[in-house]
Amino acid sequence: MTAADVTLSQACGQAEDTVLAVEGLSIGFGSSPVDLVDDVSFRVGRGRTLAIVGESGCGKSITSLALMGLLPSPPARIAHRSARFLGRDPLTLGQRAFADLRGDRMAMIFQEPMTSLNPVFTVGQQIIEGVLRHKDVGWNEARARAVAMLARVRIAGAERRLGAYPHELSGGMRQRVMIAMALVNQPDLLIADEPTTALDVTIQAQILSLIEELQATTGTAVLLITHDLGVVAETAHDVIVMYAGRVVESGPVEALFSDPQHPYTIGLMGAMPSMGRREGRLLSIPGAVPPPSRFPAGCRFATRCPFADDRCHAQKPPMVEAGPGHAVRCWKAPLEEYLPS
Amino acid sequence: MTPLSRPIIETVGLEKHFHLPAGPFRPAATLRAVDGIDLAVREGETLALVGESGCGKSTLGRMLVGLLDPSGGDVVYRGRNLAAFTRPELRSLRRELQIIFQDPFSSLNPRMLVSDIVGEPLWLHEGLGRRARGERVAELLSLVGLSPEHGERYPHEFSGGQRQRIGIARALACGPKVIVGDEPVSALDISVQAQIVNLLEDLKERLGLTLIVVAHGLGVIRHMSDRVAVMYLGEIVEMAETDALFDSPLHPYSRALLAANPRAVAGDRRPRRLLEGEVPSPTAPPSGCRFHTRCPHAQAICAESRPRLAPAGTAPRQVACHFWAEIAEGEVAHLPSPVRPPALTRRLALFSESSNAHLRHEE
Ligand SMILES: Nc1ncnc2c1ncn2[C@@H]1O[C@H](COP(=O)(O)OP(=O)(O)OP(=O)(O)O)[C@@H](O)[C@H]1O
Ligand SMILES: Nc1ncnc2c1ncn2[C@@H]1O[C@H](COP(=O)(O)OP(=O)(O)OP(=O)(O)O)[C@@H](O)[C@H]1O
Ligand SMILES: [Mg+2]
Ligand SMILES: [Mg+2]
Repeated sequence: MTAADVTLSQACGQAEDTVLAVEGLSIGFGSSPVDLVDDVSFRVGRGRTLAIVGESGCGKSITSLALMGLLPSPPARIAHRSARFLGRDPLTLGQRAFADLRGDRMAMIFQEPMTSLNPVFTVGQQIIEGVLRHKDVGWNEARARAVAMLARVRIAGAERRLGAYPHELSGGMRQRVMIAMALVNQPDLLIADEPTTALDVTIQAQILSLIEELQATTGTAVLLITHDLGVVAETAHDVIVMYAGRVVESGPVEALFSDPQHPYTIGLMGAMPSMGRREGRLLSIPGAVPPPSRFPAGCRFATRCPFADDRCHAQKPPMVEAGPGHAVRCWKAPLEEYLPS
Repeated sequence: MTPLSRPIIETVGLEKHFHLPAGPFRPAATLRAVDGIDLAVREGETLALVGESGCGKSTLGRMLVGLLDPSGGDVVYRGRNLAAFTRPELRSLRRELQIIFQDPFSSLNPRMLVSDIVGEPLWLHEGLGRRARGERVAELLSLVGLSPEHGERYPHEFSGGQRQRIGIARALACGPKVIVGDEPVSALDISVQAQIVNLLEDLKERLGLTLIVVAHGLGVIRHMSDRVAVMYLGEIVEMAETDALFDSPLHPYSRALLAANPRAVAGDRRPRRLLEGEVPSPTAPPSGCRFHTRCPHAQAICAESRPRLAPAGTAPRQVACHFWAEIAEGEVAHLPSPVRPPALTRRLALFSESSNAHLRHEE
């Protein structure tokens, strides 16, 4: 097989005004020799949304924390070939310079709101502080922006809620407060780690519309981490699928949904509960991800893949082209060619 | 589930009002988080609570398992008022009534090893020896798709979904009778989600567990619950068998909720159906029907008189709306189910065939 190793930056759409580009990001912890994130590359353009989906524990959050300069190192070991955010390499910035970017040009919505909200300050103080820290405005203006933003994320009685402490809010309200904090300074890049998991679908729809509106008016690039394939289908332009720290498939959203290639992607799509009447058990991919110490030398999905053979266990497959902008890391793609039908 | 099984938990006029003291930005006020809920949870069923963020689901769930005291009304467990239990009785009740918390991280003690977090209830309630406890913990961890060696790590070393599974393992530790799962699978990718949902269903079969799930993922709800209670601003506005609700939601809020569900169809950029209007504040809920400020069908009476949760039609179904019958006669808000793309269907078939062959081979 002639497998041209397509680089992901080619796969993830052309360089139309790139906001963030990363090549060869790897992350490990402590003394363990295994990289929990292994050679990950991607690119997000102005006004575009790139979704990252993948198995729980596959490295989505640590990837985004590393890009935000928020992964303490040590214990983390972070290596990369290159990275560009608005013309600079964020991964080589010092702590101070990073702190200036964060919350201003790049902002993050964290997976667990309680870990990023400070329990001893009111939500008003926290949002206002974020504006004052980065923008040249007075307190009254900062407060006005905070109220306006809280109202835009559909917090009822925004004025009054400025004085609320995080523990007085419901799970979804905390998530929305964090979204307000991330959006209030109109960042160039928004990393959203499961931004709407704690939200019911009506508020989710409003928040997604708000993010799209912001993208249209200010050109914010969005890196969206979610396991809700419905949200991916509705909002993402491009998708990367990760498994055990590696990108296994990437491409335009239509290609991934209509022509999924990697066995993990296929299993994932099959696990989606249909909205129709209940029909027996949900399909799931048998087994679990092995602990990193037992990752196979070859394809990391080999231990659970029904199609895996000796080569899959022994040799790491390269990323190969599966269609325009669509790439897959599997020795057996497309599956039909390798199997008797 | 048998439809006639007796209620295991009942609530009567259940309320939780929080008193908000005056602060720098605000005068004192009362927040009606849960406001008059009558509910009967049947033994062995799976009851789903759905509703807008902030409508009181977690607060209700915590009162159901006795973790939060009501400010009004009662919770009755197996015919006995929770308020009448003594402290030691309450403690032993804890093992029967378990909760999986919504925010996995803040509910796990950061200084404890995961094996101790999962094993703690065993030690508190069962007095198991060290060895037996270790085995049980390993078994619980693998039930939720983690490996025993994960036990020797601290919560911060886990991903969001892994932490959620630690919470689930802990809740399952000492044979609960009722589990309130507050977004129990929200942080999991759909394949692990499917595994956990299947696991909970197996446990229900085997142990006769009663499940109360709070969830936003409507696909999961449709799949796993027998009945659904739809909440809005501290009240139940509709209560129905799952299929009946999904096939024909009666309350205007239920209809808006189902219409907003994203469909997994790539490039489906139809304009979202947004629920219009300001979310009212639970410190000053609207008069009459609380949904009238955002309801497309509202009429004058809706602002004046509060509709009661009452039987709707012949089915065992209740709705709190003055005009549900008229609305139901109008248009049906149905979305066609998405069609699976042919390439996916083909490869999924290969996937299942090979998985089965693979399993047979291993046996
Ligand atoms: N501080 C740490 N020390 C050691 N291992 C860690 C640490 N933080 C994360 N990990 C491990 O790194 C892997 C990736 O974690 P990450 O949080 O990025 O997963 P994720 O893809 O975001 O998963 P989820 O969807 O469940 O949130 C996991 O296996 C996790 O156990
Ligand atoms: N300790 C508290 N003090 C004051 N108000 C509170 C407290 N706990 C909850 N509330 C308020 O009660 C209301 C209901 O909160 P609850 O957490 O039950 O909502 P929920 O339905 O679970 O929402 P979500 O889906 O966002 O988790 C909210 O307005 C919240 O701000
Ligand atoms: Mg994560
Ligand atoms: Mg909640």
